[in-house]
Amino acid sequence: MIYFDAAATSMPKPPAVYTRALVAMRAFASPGRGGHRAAMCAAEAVYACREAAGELFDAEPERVVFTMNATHGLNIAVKTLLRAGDEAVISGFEHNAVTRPLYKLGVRANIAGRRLFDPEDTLRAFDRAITENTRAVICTHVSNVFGYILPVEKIAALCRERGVPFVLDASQSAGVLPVHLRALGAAFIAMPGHKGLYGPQGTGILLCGQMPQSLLEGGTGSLSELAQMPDFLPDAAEAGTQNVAGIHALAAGLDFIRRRGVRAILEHEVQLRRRLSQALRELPGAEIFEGAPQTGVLSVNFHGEDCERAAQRLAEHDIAVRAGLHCAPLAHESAGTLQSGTVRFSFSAFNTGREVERAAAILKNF
Amino acid sequence: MFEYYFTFRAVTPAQHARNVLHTGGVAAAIGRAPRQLSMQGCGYVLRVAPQAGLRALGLLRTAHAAFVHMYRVYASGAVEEVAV
Repeated sequence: MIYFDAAATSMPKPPAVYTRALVAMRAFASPGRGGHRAAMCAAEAVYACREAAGELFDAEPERVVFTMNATHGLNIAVKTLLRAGDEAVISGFEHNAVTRPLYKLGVRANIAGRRLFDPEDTLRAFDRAITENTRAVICTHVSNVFGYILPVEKIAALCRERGVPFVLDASQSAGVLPVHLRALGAAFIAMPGHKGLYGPQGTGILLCGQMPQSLLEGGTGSLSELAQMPDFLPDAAEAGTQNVAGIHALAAGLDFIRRRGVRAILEHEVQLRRRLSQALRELPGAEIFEGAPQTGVLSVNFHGEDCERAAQRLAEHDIAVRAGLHCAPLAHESAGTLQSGTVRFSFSAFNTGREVERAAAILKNF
Repeated sequence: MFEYYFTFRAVTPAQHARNVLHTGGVAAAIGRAPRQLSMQGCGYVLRVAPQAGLRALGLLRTAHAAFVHMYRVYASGAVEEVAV
């Protein structure tokens, strides 16, 4: 199979990721609960992953909270900062992981910046939209549909100037772009473990610039006599036994990124995206969503063909892509593709130019 | 004979403090806090040799490591809190 669906979940993983998951399942017990060897091995594995994440994302290890996925982390962030009737500013490229929690809470979402590949316009729109009524700004770093890199450093600076909490959805940027908790001064940064960090599904990270409110309450292995959750990190947001196998494997993914380098991974993926785009330009009627700044994610429509049918035809050639709305109807609305959807190609460090050439050859016969 | 015990509310701050001490050249072992020392139920300790106790205290204070109490714990099981 040629796998071009890394924006959904990366596959394959570095070999150590598989090995570590097995090691943990065989030898590690519950972390932060007991003092026996298997429990302490688990605790050390979890802490090692906190340290690795802290190093990569410029955060103290205690500020690294493990979640099930980015959605979990974003829900913690949203429900910590916002209440019914509050106003939040979001970009026009947010995922349902942001918009649905806001809708459920009854938060008024003020949408800023809907022009694709226009960071100046995006920044101006945020500048106008953030007012004294804004209780939080939530912004994706990279559109999961179009690969558009939003100017989040400047948006974060606006938030710092105006004293508004900033939440970053790093679902598509963690592992391919610099993400620094301290430098951004963000209240929260949420990311999945299973995409650009090359960990297993069921893992995620929430970097906490401020104290989160718990989404779940339960055992933490600390202050057990108290009825309420601990008021310190990371325990405040980590109720219940952690996904130790996933976290230990995620640490191998982080190690892979550290050794390969974030910049090198981005350059590789962008190069693949450009090669594919070049090939697609030879197809009559192909609508290619490309601009700058952009990661290795490319959305395409094929001369009016239903996107799901196009993806199915690719699947019949054993090429894996994602079609439809990508759980981001707002992004499609912003780009004018809500009705059509798009076919999305997304690359990882493990894709090759040869795979792109094979896919391009098949697409030429579409 | 005794050891110094630094108590922590959870394993993560204990691990952070352990790394601070290791970086500062002080050996420390993590273990569960004895029930009589655990704060409001469950906790972890860092065990430090008697000759390294004061140095460990200085390192933890400098790093703002979140220990709760410091104790001398004797081989007999007797415990006395160190006023810090």
